[in-house]
Amino acid sequence: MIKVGPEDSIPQRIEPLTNKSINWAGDKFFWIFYVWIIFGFRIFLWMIGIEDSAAAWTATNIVHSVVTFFAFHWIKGTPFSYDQGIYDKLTFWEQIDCEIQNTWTRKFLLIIPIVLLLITCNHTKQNTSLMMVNVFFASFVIIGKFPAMHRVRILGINK
Amino acid sequence: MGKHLVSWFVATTIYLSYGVMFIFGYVEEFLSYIKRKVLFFQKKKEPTQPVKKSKQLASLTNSFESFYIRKIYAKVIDTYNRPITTIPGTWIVVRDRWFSKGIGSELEYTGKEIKCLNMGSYNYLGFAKTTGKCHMDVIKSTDEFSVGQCSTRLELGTTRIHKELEAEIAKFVGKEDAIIFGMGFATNSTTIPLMAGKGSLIISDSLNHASLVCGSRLAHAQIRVFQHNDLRNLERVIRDSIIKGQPRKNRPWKKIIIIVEGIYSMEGEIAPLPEIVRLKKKYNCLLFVDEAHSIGAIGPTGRGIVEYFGINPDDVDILMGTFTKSFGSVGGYIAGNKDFINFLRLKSFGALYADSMSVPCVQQALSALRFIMYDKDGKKTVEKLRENSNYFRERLVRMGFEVMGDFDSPVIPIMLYCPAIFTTFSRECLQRDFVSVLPILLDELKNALDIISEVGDILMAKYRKEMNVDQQKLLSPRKKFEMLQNQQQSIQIK
Repeated sequence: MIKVGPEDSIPQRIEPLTNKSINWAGDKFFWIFYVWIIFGFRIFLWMIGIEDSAAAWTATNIVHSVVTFFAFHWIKGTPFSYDQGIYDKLTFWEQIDCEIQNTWTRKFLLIIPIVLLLITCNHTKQNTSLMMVNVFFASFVIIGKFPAMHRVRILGINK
Repeated sequence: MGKHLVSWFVATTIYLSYGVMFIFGYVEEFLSYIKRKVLFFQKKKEPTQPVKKSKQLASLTNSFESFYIRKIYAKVIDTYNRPITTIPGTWIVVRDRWFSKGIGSELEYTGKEIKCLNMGSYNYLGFAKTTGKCHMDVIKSTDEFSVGQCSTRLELGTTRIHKELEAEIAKFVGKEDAIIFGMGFATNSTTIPLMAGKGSLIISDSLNHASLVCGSRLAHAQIRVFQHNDLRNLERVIRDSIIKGQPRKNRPWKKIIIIVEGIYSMEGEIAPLPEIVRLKKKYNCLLFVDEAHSIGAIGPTGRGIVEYFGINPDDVDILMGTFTKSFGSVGGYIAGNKDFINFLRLKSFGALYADSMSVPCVQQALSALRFIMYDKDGKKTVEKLRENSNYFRERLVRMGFEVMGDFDSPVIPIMLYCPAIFTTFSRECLQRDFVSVLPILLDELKNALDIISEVGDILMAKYRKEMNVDQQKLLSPRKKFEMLQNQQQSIQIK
């Protein structure tokens, strides 16, 4: 059951989420952990000794894009079998909040790769080819999170 | 994550550990996938015999569905389902097992047998024993009636002892009549489909037991779920359902049944029954309370959650319970008014098609019940249980552990969150001869608490040590309810 208000309000659920593979995605602790881990990776690269900020941010962006594309947009279903396969055709991103679009969780998870892309572009201003590589990798995860891409499988891949 | 707040460091490490587990699982899967492809490419024989394409069967689970079981559960499976060789009393003997070829492979017995303090079984009042009056009664009844009745309840399976148990349990919980079934799970899954037909609505707690979920799914009713023990959410869900009506045509519901449990087996929390009864009366719904863990375990004389809060049993429409936990037997019962129970006797699948409950089990439940009701030590046993649970819980809370559940509840879970921590906790405790449910002696309790404290220090599992002990948390639900009533009365007087 959804509480839907005026046109520009954010839909919220009245009922709790019972799908255990995604009900932790709305926790504020998880959001903070997500931001932390991205910056933690960047700091880890700095600690190894990579001085070039453009290369380090590019590496962070690419690793983030690959991992989140695989985890959110490629893997379908749930890792346990007691769901009896109702979510078997839905990726993690599509399962969040029971397929309701534009909730707070989705907005947050959409903003993170955009902000990361902006930071990376800021650091690779001089190097246009590196910027193109960044935009290429980040575009997969950003476009995959648009509401228009819900349940869309391009060219039948990963049906 | 509302009430269970831990520090930033602990939360980060917990998420990190889950992430690492998943990453390692995926990497392992990916490598084994590559290995299979390489073997196929080199045309080497695969370890399993290749099957002809025409004889291939569909796989039972796809690879991601079984990910949790194969990659995560398989590595820690020695801490679950430990085999024991004695009755589940205070001390049990555990047969030690370990992985045969490295972690994740099959388990084999090492030959060691460890005597442990038992804190993990549902033997709340200690009725699972091979000596005493209950045992003699059971042997006598087996001599008279034999073990199996070889019939369903409706045909030739009802004996004098079945009728006695039904009458006694109805008197115990304060209802007109009761019916017993041979299996606790089957009690729920065969009764709820009859209660809630097409056109009705079931509103159930999000953390209800699998038997209630199974019964609700078998019913042709709509199901709505409300946040666990959250009364504002329950009221919103009820109001929303009544306003919207049935799906598609918005007709009014034929009946609305609220299903809650007395004590939740995994959280140890007690349902806020007085407020739920108030909501039920306000919106004219029916109430079904599953007292599997609370019958015989809470309340001054052990009559369950209805007596604990001092509610009139007529306010709760259907009371369900099991004999497995406090009575040392098997099976379950449903208590309600006479018309409903007669309807169940004629129509329930548990009565029509399932075999009747085995007579020794009925006699064990009956003797245990009579002990609690009439014997001079019956009330003392229930009180002892409550004192032990409260003492244990308070000591654990003061030690700094994150303890879930309410006071007065015999189920005491400690939240360790991190999968690495709780499996190591279990293994370390086994090394110290301690298996985590019910000692009766206080010295054994103190021993147990020392062991838990020691292991908790090693694993840094005392998440709340720096935070002050919340005084509000040390109150039981009964005391909170009384305080609330006093406040309301004082407001009315003013």
